[in-house]
Amino acid sequence: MRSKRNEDSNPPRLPEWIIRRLAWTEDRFSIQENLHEEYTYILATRGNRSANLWYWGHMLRSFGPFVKFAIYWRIVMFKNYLKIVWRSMNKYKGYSFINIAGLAVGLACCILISLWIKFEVNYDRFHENSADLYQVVTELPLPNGDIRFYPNTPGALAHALKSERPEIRNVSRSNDWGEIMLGTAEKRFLEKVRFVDAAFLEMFSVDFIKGNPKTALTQPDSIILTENIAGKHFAEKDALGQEILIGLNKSLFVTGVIKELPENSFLNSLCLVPIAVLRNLGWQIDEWGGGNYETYLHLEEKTDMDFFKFQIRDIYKKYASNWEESKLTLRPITRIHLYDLDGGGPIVYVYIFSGLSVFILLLAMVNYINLTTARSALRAKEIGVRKTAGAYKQQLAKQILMESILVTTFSGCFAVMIAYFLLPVLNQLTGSRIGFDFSGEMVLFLTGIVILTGVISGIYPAFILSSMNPVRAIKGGIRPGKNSLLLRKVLIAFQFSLSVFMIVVMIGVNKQLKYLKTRDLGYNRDNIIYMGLAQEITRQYRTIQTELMRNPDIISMTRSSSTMDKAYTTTGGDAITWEGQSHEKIMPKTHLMRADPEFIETFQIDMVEGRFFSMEFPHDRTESVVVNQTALKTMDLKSPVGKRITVWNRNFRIIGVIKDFHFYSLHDEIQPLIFINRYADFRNIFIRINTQNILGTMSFIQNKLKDIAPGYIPDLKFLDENLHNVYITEKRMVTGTRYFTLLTIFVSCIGLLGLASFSVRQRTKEIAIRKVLGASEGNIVLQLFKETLICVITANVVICPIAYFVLQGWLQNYAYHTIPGIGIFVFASVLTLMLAFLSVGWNVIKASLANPAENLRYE
Amino acid sequence: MKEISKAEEMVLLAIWRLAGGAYGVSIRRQIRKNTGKDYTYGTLYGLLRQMDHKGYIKKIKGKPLPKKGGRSKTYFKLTPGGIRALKDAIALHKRMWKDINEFSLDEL
Repeated sequence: MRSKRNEDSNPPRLPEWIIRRLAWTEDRFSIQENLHEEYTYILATRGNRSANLWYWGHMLRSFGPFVKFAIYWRIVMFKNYLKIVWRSMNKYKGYSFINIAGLAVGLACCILISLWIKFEVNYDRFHENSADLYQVVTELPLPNGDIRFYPNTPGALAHALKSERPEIRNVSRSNDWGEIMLGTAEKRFLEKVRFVDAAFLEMFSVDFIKGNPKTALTQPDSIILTENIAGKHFAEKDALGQEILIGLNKSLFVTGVIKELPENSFLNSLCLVPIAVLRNLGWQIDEWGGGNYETYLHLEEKTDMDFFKFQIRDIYKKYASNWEESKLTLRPITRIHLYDLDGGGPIVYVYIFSGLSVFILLLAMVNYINLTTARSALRAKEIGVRKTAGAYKQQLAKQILMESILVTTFSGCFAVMIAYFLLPVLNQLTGSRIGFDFSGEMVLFLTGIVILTGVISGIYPAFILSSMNPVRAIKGGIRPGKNSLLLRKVLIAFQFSLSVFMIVVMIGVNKQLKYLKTRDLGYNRDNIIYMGLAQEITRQYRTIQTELMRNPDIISMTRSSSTMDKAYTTTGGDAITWEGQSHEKIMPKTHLMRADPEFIETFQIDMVEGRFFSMEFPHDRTESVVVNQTALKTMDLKSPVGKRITVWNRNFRIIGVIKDFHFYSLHDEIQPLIFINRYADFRNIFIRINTQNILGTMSFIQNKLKDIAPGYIPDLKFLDENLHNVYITEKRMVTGTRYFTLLTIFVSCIGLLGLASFSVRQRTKEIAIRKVLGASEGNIVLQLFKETLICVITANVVICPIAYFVLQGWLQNYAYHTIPGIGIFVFASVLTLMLAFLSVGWNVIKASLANPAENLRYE
Repeated sequence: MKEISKAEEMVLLAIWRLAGGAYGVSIRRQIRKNTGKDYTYGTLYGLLRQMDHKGYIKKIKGKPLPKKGGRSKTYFKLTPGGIRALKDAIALHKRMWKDINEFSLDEL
């Protein structure tokens, strides 16, 4: 061991190494020598053991002072950096503004988008059991080989599953009724209502303010309200035990008031009603027949999901013959919001917008890199002096990196302010209500991104500046090298190609939205009022109709099962057979629409053959159908009128063919459609009115309805506006891309502006000499603008094809879309060129007009 | 004029007393001899570096040690600034203790 070492031996290695690590470079060896000297002395006088002990003890005792002084010097250096940064920011105010503004905008984007992403991603994650909650999904193979996914399951599935698998802790059926009239005799509002089993309350984290969660859903006439809804209906009164009317006649009693659930939950502001209510209304809630229910499962923790899914996959085969082809699968409830069953969903926008905000930040970093390296000549002297005074290259690099981190920190502070003020815009854009949160997580994220941005934008300048030759730097002979000039051009081209890309996409998306809104739908959508009639007063429709038609401004009105914006009932395959059907022909997906005889009159659609339903033929109600042109084409019938057709085992006769029109959004092509005049539970009323006195007509309708059904406030909308709501995602895309395009252009242009003012200043002498030698102002402007011009043109040439393909790819999602013409690209190119010219122009023109004598005076 | 701390005063005085022979080990011994305080090298060199920065002392490279690969010792010397700082310290002491002796402290 150590005692065996001879007199001249070294001190113990470990403490020596620690001391060396702790001490600063400058005095490291002196300290070690001194320690060694004393160690040798003690070794000689008192022996090995005490010498080693002393050394260890000394190391331990000096630990504290070493750390203390290290921190002290860090702070001293930091103060120095801060001072230098402040001075150089002050000296070049314009450049500092460009750097800070750009970075602040980029960081603000990131903050806003991350707030939004946090909101989106945390959908329904607040439930205590959120990791073990699943929704059952039905997988239906289509004849063409595709698989469709539905969240719909038969009512009997829940209990069958529970009895089959021991991993299931709890199950609940659920039926989302959407909005329904609810309230007391005096006051009613449309509220979201969901019918659930009692176990639902145990599975999802629902906090009761009043009432007993154990019994709240056991009685079939109970209802649970959230605090907001309870407040709206009962104000100060205690809601518990109060009677609430659902629809017009069914009365329920409040058995619980729950705390409002977070905005990012599918349970936000909603009333819960026991599913048994539906049984009393005559629904088959315990059968294998229809698929009207969602089924939620709460599984045991750490269930082997693959095994479990395999076990339940073919459960329909065992129980339900009419569901035989379908398979079962599951999705975690935390995915319901983000991922649509058929792919896509808000997650796409999460990716798109986070990608875009990262790009904006990247552009700002490019500005920083460009300006800092371009100005390297200006700082060359400082660097040279520091180097000759003995600064290491590494120290200088650290200093420059520190500077960029400081600048980004500064920008970060502005970014928080910008984000705070722009949050309402984001909320409007995304249709959500996100609050600004200063949680630890967010602060950590912000610090992280600020430092990361600082490091990324500082690392290249740090490398360039710190490796300058000090002698040449002080003499002033530093010219930026070819490489850094090239890099700068590439970066400018990169910035402008992004701008071009964004402009192209923005215009393309905008054009598509306009196209979607204005395309001829095959019917006249103007001046049609749409209202969804409450189920309870549908029986009084004929009275309402006769009353309303008295007003000469109301031209025509009709009922329909469709709202014209999405498909409702679909069928196909074996369900439809017809006279003259050849063997290989079957109907693909076919839509069923129920409508009144007035339908074509109200919508102004022409018939191709035969006639539409008519009051004069009472049997139309039971045995006539009208098909659209696409259906006719699919059925391949020569003379369709009078042919027999069977739909869902009921026999009809085709009485006419209606011209094709769009009865759902333009995402998909027109599909076969069969009109039936049979059922009377239409809830959608369409009223064609005169363009004169629109407001008067509307209030007339409202008053009449109030007379007929007291307490009922109808919601009148214009059909064309209502149709636009289908394109809400497109609308958000348009607004979103508009903001991002503006930001991209802003950040790139200020960067170019800064760079131009710098390079022009550097070339004042060159310009003066050119002028003295006879160059005209125009020549000089061209000469100076040439570089930028080449950059921007290159950017355009490279990016336009890419932008074209991306846009084309997006448009392929629509069965009907505009064709992105050459115009968009020409416009984007010209616009970027103009913007580039504007950003460079001021400086260039100023320089070309300058008096050469001024600038050559000192030569 | 900023006053120097007690610790700085001790280190400066030790260097002055050692007159040219002040390096790590000797300074440490001197301080221990005069005041009984056992400074670690961490504290000592920390103070030395600070005072070097403030301009009270300066480093002087000695002759390389007569052994293979021996480094030269670093000696410390007072600068005029250091001497002034010490003078100021004395003056301060005198002002502070003016008209006070050990007996006066017992009077109250």
